[in-house]
Amino acid sequence: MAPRYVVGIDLGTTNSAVAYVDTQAGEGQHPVLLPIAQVVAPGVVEERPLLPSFLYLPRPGEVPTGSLSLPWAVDRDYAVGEYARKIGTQVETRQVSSAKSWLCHAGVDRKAAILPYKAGETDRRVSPLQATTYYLQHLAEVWNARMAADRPEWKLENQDVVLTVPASFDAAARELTVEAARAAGLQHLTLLEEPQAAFYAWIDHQGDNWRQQVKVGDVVLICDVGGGTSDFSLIAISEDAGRLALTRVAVGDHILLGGDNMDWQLAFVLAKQLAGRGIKLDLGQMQMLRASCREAKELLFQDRTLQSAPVTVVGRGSKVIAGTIKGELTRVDLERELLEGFFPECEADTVPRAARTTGFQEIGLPYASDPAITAHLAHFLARHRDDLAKHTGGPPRPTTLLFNGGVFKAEVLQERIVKVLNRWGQGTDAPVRVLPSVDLDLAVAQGAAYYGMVRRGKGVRIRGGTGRTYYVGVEMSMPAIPGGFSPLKALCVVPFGMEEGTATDVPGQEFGLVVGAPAEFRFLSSTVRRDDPVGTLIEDWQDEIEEMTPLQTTLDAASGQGRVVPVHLHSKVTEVGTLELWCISRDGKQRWKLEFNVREQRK
Amino acid sequence: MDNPIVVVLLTLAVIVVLKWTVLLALSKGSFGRVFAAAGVFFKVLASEETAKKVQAVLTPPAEAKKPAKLSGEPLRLLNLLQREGRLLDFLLEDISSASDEQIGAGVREIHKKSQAVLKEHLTLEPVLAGQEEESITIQAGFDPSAIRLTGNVTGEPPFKGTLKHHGWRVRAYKLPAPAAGVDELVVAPAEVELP
Repeated sequence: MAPRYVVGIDLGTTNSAVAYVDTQAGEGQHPVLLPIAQVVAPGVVEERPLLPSFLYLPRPGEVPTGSLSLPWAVDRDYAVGEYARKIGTQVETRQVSSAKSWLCHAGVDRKAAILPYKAGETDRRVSPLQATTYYLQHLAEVWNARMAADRPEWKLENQDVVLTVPASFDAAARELTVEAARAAGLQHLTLLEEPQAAFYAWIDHQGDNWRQQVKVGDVVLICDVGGGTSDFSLIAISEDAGRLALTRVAVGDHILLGGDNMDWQLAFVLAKQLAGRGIKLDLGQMQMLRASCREAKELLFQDRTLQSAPVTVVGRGSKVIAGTIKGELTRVDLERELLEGFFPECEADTVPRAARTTGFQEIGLPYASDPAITAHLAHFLARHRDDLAKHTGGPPRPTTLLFNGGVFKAEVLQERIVKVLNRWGQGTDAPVRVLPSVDLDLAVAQGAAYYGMVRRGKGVRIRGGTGRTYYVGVEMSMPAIPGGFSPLKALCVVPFGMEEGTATDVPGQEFGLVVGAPAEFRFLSSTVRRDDPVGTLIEDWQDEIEEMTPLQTTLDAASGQGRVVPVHLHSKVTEVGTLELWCISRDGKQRWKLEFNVREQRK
Repeated sequence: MDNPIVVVLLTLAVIVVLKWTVLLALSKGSFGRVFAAAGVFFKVLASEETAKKVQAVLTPPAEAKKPAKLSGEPLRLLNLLQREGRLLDFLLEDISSASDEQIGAGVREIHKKSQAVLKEHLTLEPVLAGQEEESITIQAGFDPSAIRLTGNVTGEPPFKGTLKHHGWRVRAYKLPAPAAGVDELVVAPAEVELP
């Protein structure tokens, strides 16, 4: 029998949420939120709709005994959630933040204890993978305490769980997410791209009415700007046997840029203003300033008649009034910094500014070097010009728009996106239509739960398959050239849009694996090249293909008689939504799975 | 010395001498204390009441009770108001020399956060539903702790008057106890920033 609950988990960069459908509560149930108990202050556990994705790792003796206890774990020595977020802003050496961004950062060893990034050598540290596991584990514990107190069969590990990932997550990041989920005990797992989840939430909210709101030839741009990341996807509406069909036709690259960057930007502007008055702020005051700027921003965006909003940092010492610092965020500053800084009215052919190349690069998260979200959007749409034109049968631009992410609570920012899209589409007849968002913060969790129902045959499914084309690097033997290198070719092993639950042999190319020695394959992918059939060898791809985390396997000595085993590749997209690559011996009798090598690469 | 009577008498004499020696040694040479002890011995045997009194004297008294540790419970709301809104700092601060502008800016912040605490942890409602400055009738049998009559109070209820303050009543509150290791008497921990 199918599990009673279908659960959607939005594992966000800054906040996580859980929604579920009780399939025994009758037909037509909509996802409801799970209130998440968490430590909100020392020794105080309260329920909140969201779980801030932060981890606090104090050393023994730094917090009162029992102050991180949860009803189901009295001896907890770490905290996840609200208190971890709050205390951590003042103790960066003990706080893990943005674990999700680290999880997809190919430049570091994602299974090594490297977080908190600012912790000292002897301090407690965890790997990005472990941090992610802690978050999921906390959600599972909350679920089990609340929903399955005396019914083990209702525990989260026994339910159908849909876990969302950014559409831009590559195969290795997805694999790591699944590994964290398994470590947290989740068994029946499916991955879903966040922008798709937002779209499912919209469908659920509209009911059957959604079919009236879009038509064949529409392409929906899902513009998702969260706390830490921006994510774009395109969904095309077509017709299949007389019914509307949905296909996710493109996903964007991973952009580490979101609402938090905006709040910091405003705080820096205000700090500069205060510095002009001779006031210097310490770390704690900067945090208060950021929080106050955020409130001022929300106030100005809410009430458009206001010309400015106060920004206050109260004294940190016991002299709260005497230490109060007052500033003002003006509408002029706000619009210059956010609208012009993050959402400028750029041209359709704008290319985001690339990172300045300096002598050394600080290892840390690869934040986007161009803060202009509109520039990233222009670049994304330009790269998918041909697909857009193919699907709309007309101008190469999206016809419809769905917003997601807390940033868009500011209507001004929604309006700016609409404005630039219309500007880029000048000369075309209809302006872009905006679909009503359900809940900018919670839609992803709700949509994920809805998708769980879709998988049980209750509702329309977005087709899509893999959002990238994947390749294995093949080094060509060439006559030795002094100072030269052998050029790399890319062998397509997974075509774009390969569906979950399917597998394919990669014809044409045979590799010789050396017994007893680790074999490593260079692994590449593209979000842009979408028509390469499996087995094609690409020689020249300019910047359309990028190199990723390599794949590796080791053949034990017992594999095969000779020293070298000839193999061909076999690829598979699992039902969960992860990618598997296999080496298969010539006689087909032996196979070795290639694993992602997420360890730091020494080059 | 073969006479058994002499032997018995001598033995008894030795016993008596030894007994007195032991008793005098225990009483550090005081005959008075020896007789007093003998008196007590017989009185305890004879009287239940004396036995109890003596028992009380002999039983080592229970260790003096430590003064009861202060309960942090009455401080819970104050704790929250300080933690979230810095209210205690504000009330204890000497603000006589601060400018009105400074006070204004600080108080707005403290007010916003403290109000949020009250709204989150207390369910407050007016005691009387009417609008302030409007007329109201107070029926007989009203609760004097909930309604205070002022002005020209004469005669018997019902009273007709003007509602000056609608009052506040806490209908419910949630102020859960923090974990055992947390000292609620520390309303604000000292903060030390490491460079």
